[in-house]
Amino acid sequence: MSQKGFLILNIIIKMSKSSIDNLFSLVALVFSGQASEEQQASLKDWRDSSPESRAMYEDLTNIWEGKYFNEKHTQMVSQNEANEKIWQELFSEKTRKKRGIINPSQLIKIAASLIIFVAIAYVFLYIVK
Amino acid sequence: MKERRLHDQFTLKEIFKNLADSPDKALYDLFFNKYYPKLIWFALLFVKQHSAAEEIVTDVLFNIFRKRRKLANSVNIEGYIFISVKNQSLKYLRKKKRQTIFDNFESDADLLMTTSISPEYEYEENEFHRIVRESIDTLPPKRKLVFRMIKEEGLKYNDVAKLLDLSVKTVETHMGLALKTLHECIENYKKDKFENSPVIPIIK
Repeated sequence: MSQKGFLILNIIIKMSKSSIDNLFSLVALVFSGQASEEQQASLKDWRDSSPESRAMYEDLTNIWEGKYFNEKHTQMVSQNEANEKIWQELFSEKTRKKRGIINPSQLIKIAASLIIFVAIAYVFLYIVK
Repeated sequence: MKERRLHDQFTLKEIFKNLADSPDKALYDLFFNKYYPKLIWFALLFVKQHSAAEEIVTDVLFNIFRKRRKLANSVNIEGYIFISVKNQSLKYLRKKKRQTIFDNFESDADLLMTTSISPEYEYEENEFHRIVRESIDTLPPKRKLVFRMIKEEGLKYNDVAKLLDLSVKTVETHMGLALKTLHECIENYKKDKFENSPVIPIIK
């Protein structure tokens, strides 16, 4: 208990401006690799400030290094299906060649503009006249 | 080159650049196998059924790969992908005329998160990490979610803020408080251990 009290006191003294919560936020920011150089330096300063802070830093490092979320669903059946489907549609040689000659979305565009052209021509030829 | 690939040395940018130039199944698989489960998990925070999540993620990945040339030049590919999944999920919900939107996802997220931390966890986990994992379960759902997204999925604070409709400051606070809780649990654990068996130091 007294050790913990000392630890907290130590943090408060060393980080006069920020609260303890800010220390933990800073640690998370640094550990996730998203801190600025200045923030990294200030955490290092704190870490090296006392044996207690160093011990705490080590605990926090250990906490951060664990893997806690099991990705047991990694081997989903749907994964292989989706993998194959997208690969076949977008990357495989066959579809690439096919796409080169007839591109379905382009075909629709061409068809649409043809219809519009015929419609306008019809209007001009038969109605306007 | 092949060996490097297997060891996951490519950044997303490099993967997309290479895939834009030539179809490389090994590289594609590397990306796919890493991101598909993550994105399914993420989509499930919005939509409840697994089949819907699969549909959404497949659609998003399809579009992502179709735009791979353009994407290879963008700054934040990962953020873009996750945000696409979020948008697509919301679109799906709107289409299905469901009332459940992100704000009341907490209870479901909670359910999902507890099941994803399963007892059949399969690696030599030491006691230290077991304590931490158990205390992660006691975190409030949103905090747990933020913690997972940043620590485990490696997302940017900015992206997490955008994805969860929070401010970056709030994300920082969540991260700080999560770490604080976990650290407290470890402190308590050490204290208990010390009182019970004063001779053996537990963590070195």
